[in-house]
Amino acid sequence: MNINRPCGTFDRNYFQAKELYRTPLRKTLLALFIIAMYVIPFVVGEYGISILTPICAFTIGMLGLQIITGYAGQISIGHAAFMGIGMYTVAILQKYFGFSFWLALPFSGLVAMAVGIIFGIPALRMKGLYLAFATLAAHFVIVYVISNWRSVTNGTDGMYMSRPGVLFGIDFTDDRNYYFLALTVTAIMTYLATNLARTKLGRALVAVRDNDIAAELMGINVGTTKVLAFGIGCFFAGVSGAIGGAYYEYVNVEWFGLDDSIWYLGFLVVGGFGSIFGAIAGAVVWKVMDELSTLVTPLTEALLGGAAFYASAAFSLLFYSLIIITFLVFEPRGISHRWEMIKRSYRLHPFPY
Amino acid sequence: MRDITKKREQRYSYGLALLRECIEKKRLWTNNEDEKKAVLRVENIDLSFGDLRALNNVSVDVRGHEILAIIGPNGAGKTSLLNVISGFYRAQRGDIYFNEEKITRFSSHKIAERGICRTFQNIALYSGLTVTDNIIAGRHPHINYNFLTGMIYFPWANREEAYQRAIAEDIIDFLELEHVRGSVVGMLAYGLRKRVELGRALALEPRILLLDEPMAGMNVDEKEDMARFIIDINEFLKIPIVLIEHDMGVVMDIADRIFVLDFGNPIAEGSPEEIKQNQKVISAYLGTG
Repeated sequence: MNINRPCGTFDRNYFQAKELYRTPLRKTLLALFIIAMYVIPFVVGEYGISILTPICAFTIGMLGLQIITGYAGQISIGHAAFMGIGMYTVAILQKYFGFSFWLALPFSGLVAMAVGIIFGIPALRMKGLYLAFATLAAHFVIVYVISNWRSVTNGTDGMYMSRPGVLFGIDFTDDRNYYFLALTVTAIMTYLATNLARTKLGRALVAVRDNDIAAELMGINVGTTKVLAFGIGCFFAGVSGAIGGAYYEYVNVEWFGLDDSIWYLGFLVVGGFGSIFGAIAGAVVWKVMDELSTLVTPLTEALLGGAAFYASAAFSLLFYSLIIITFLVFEPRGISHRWEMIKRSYRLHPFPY
Repeated sequence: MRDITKKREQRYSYGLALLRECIEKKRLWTNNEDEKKAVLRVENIDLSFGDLRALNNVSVDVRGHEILAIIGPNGAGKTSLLNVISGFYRAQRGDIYFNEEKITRFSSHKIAERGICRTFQNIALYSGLTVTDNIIAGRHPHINYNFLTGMIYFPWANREEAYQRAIAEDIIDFLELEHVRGSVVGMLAYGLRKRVELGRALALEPRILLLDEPMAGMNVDEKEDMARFIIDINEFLKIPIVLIEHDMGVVMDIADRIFVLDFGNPIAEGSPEEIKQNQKVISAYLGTG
């Protein structure tokens, strides 16, 4: 019945039962993957790094949305705005208080967390689509405040922020070194999210998602759990914003429009709800699609002639929509579910089930 | 680890040993003289939904470690009574005392933490989790670390997880769920899901167990299994069990006391023999056959 693990691996005690990577092969593969991620910038060069760093940032944000929507089941259509809060927190702290990036990074998460908790409070009374609209309001309130509080946020002109300087002899103004920083933060956040999902709070989140009435009657404080989910998810969003914003050393309120918030949800569907792997896959697919759509534009010039210039803006939208619809029709549980199926059929190989 | 293993060895001779140990640490009543004492007192409960009177001046005691069956025709207010006890409905009038503590206005999760655990008429499991995780999720209030510790996964969080898993395995062994422990509950058969739900209620370290139709829709074998589990829980954990059931054969066999409701009104209370003879109960529910 339970075929979630390779053949021939048994748990001899309850500590082994909690392990994520049981066989030496999987441990080696994980180590190789991490090493590969650190080696890859030496291979792909400047262009590759310019794709990989945003992927890292969006992965963190996607993990946050996975916690809110995938695990706790609370739809949030305002996630990009919380990312924006992270960006602006770093920019404001650097400009007015002279914070270094290192000090501003945790603050970006904490401020986003505080705002997230405030906007998560409606979740105590609302469910499903109604809550989705409450979070939609959060998006508009945040964007409105940022674009109109000109004296602090510089309005729609955006703000400049600086990357961390030299630390331990590593110069983070260099793109490659900054990628290493982003990757390390991503790895840490992934570790935190993975452990969250498999411990006490993670089970409580899934309990609230699957059956909130039963959860309340089974000793789980549903209100606190929902608000905590929003808080932690927005913490991730804030950190992701700080990492992403500092990469461009500039932040503008137009970078996190409503469409970004919705694409966040859309690509979470592509990646798959309720798994850490799904969040990462969603972020990777999103940014790769982004790059593909810009690559395709010159090719269409032959087909469309001068109109290609006007069509180019629509390409990314077209691509995004197509891929999300494809997944909704053919694999509504996302890449992560498909990946599990592949693993399962590989492990069972000669037999169909 | 050796500690846990040792406890596991003991289990084979005792049954639910780990869980019983957990409960006994917190038990308020200690000796057999107290068995007649009311653990849960429901006093003069009135509950209405608009003009509909669901419960009308209902008072009932649950004592020591007895099995109390609540019976009555459909819509008599049996489930409403359980919902009032577990804090899901708020009664308009009346009080509920649990171990002399007034719990009428407590929120549901606090009542559950006190040890009033229940199952549901329509299965209400966490369908996305596995059987083991469902049972460990039931232990939520008794897990001793906060979410930050869990996120960073300190060694003591790992030890705590292993300990909780040991207790969950204790329950899984007791309820004979070993073969499905890794399956997602959404895929399980109905009878098994009912059993998982009982397991989740057990994981909460119950000091009183409220079972809402645990045998509905089961065949004779499954009913016998469930009856055996209920009696065993009653014996091993020495806790009272409140049982709503429509199968009169089972009720008359396993219940120590029966409480009869009809359209929100309590009409009788007593031992199975008394209830069988009671003219009011016969006309309202049992019928003359």
